[in-house]
Amino acid sequence: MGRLLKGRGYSEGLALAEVLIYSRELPPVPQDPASDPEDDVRRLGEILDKGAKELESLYEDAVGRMGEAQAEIFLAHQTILEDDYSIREPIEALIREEKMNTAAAIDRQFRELAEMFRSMDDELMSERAADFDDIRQMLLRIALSSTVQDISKLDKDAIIAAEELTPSDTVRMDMAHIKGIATRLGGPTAHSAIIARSLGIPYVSGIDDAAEGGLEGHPAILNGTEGWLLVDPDEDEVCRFKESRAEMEAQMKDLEDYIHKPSQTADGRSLEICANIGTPAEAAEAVSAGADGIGLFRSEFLFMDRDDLPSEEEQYLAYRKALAALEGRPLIVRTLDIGGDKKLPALPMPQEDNPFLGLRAIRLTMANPALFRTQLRALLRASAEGNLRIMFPMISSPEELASAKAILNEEKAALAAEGLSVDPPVGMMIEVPSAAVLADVFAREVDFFSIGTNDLTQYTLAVERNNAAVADLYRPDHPAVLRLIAMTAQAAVRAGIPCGMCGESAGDPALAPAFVGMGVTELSMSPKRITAVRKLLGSLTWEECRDMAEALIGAK
Amino acid sequence: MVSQIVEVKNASGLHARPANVFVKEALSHKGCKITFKKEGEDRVFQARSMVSVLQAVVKCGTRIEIFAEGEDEEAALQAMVEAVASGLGE
Repeated sequence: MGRLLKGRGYSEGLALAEVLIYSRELPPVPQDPASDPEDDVRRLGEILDKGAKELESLYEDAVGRMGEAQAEIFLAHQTILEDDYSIREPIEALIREEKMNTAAAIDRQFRELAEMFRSMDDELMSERAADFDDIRQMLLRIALSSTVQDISKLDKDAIIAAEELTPSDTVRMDMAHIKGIATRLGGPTAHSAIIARSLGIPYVSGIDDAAEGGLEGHPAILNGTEGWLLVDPDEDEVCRFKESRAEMEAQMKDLEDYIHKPSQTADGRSLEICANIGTPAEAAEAVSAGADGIGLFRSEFLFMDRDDLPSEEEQYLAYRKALAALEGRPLIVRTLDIGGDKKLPALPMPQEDNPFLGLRAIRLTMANPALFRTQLRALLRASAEGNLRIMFPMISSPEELASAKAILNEEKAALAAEGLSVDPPVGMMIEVPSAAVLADVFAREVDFFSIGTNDLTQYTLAVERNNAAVADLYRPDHPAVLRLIAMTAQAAVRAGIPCGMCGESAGDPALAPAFVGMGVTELSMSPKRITAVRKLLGSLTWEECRDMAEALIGAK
Repeated sequence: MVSQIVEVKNASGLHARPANVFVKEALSHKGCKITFKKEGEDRVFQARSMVSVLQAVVKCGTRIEIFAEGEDEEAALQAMVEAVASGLGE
């Protein structure tokens, strides 16, 4: 049995190779005072110049090896190095006033800056601390004429183990031979995680021994999916590794083919397999994962984690950004869906005894018309620039839908008067049982449906979704829920409008075929599930899907 | 000294590339001291310092007041405001 070291995985995959400890240890920084401060100030100028040149060449190297986006970090480092106010001047002051030698002064100033960022209460910022450590080490190497461990040419495969990796480390690495990364520090947005994901190799952090010498040269298995490093595996463990890797690779390779295949049943009925996203940046990722479009764009991200409300312009730019990434594919944006378990700092809401039955989603936006109108105007303006569709959440009565549409039409008319005539499709979510029961009535009033299975399940079964005490009663495959879905899809088919689905059930392989059999034509899910669901549906005929549907709702 | 308020619209705020563009613009107005505050706060940050700009943690949708003082301060202020309003290269 090998020695199992548990951590957290931030890039999926499996690797078996010898561990290579990568250390950036520098010779000790001399502490003697500067004998001639002006001489040391001149030295500082030379070191900063050399550092700038090194960053320049790192940048060019990185562009060639990893592309512009990954290389950009070195441009940021250059700008930090050029920061006279926070770098050059304070270091000069340390040399002149405290008589520190150049290396000691650089060390002090950059450590302080790293410490300051590390202690900031903002994840993005505390991870910037690594940039200052990175630049400090580069400058000290130059100041102390030290060289860095050369891992640019390895003669065999390796799992790199380190305290943590910086952008300048990875740009110098022989990526062809590096099969995995294990570090002591780092999280999901750390540089190592980004690099590992872009290379498709496993990355595990939280391995306390990663930087200790003890692992050097030992064979190990790294599992980025489960988050562990197994040192000195025995024969059985190696055997099992080989099997699971072969299986994983075959599976991934097989599914890769489905990224660009059309979404259809085995007998050629055309479907749409779309992605649910929460930010504009995820739109591009969804497309590369094979999405036919975005079935649910949660607009909440624009409103969360801030004390004010987003302006029309800011919202417009965000929707436009998502549309640009989709290159003509449809984008269904759900208007603000908060209340219930989601609160907004900018919109204080009274305490409610039953928030899930209270002032949430469409009810809340209708009660705050200014907020609702701003979002609708931003959506309407963006719809001029792509295939955008507007969707209202949690509609429970025809009157409510009529009022929401009336407000939308007023904003449409106002924009037309300003010279912009747009008429994007308008749909509604079916997530309240009353909406499913009246689906035939609603189908005459909207351009599309999208079934929200999460809320539909909890409202139909009167089971709170996030309550562990009743978790076993929460069943998205309950025949009552499935009958409501079938009723909704049939009403849509009869009215000639498309019926989509964007709850978690849409990506569930046990249920997705049955939904298609009921008449659902668009399934929207987490991008990771798209290829597997596309493959599954492509293997079944529509008739087989319909049989599954009938069996599940108890019609047969 | 002249000043004007402008809203930062970049999705990640004044961070990464937008911060870079912001600092580069400030550095290009050599004879002019350019600083900024977040609306409703007193702390002053240096627009010519990348460290100071990062320290400000300006998020998307935050309004900042930019101050310019020195040679051609009007022109410098206008250039800064325009750079922010036009999305800082994004």
